Amino acid sequence: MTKADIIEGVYEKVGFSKKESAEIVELVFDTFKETLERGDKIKISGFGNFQVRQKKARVGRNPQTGREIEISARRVLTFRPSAVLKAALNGEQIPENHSELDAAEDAAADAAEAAGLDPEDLDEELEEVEEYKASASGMKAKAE
Amino acid sequence: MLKSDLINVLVGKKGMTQKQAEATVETIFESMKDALCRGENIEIRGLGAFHVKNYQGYQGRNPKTGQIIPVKPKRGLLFRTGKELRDRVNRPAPQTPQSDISFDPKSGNGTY
Repeated sequence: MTKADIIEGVYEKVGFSKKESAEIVELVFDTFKETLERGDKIKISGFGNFQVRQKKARVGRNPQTGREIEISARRVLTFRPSAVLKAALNGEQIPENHSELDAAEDAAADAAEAAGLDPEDLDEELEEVEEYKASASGMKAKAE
Repeated sequence: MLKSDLINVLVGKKGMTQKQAEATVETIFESMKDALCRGENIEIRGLGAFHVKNYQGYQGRNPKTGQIIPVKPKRGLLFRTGKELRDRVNRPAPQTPQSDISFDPKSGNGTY
């Protein structure tokens, strides 16, 4: 799916012209970009949250040469799908406490960030929510 | 920014009715959700890409008790930020007015 398909959906379902639909969808994503550029969060209920996170400088490695390189501190965008979207992806029933689940995940990510762990690295490297949660709560336990 | 703020932006900048703006925002995210549920990836140039990833099941453990629990295969969602947005988030441009997208009530265009 690309922007063109989203525009098509707005054209068919909401009834704007193709040109209007294109401008509207463009405006929505431009608004997204401006908001995130300012460092503000975006929360779309039933879909997910977009949040800018500050990452500290760290030492990485060039995978080709094996040479160590410093990865500078930076701001990155992270996206967390809502519990509703995750359930839908898996054809599961929407959990009744979905807003609490989302809040708990946000809190775990904030805790991991505060403890010096990188929530995004965890997502990528562990690639498992359960494992991620386990390490986040482990980090919390260690900190206490 | 919440979904309701986005709806207000559409009402303010495009002169839509509240109802139209609600239907539009709902349609956009529902169609994205439907595509992802079909297992389709989404690519929005400049913003980023959503990728549906299939995870295999594995033997997990309860970290507190050490008990082995089977974890079922499932689908997860990864988001990769597009180049334009990645740069803008990391190096915000100095706050200069961007006339192409900012709302100008005097211009009179942009009303449907």
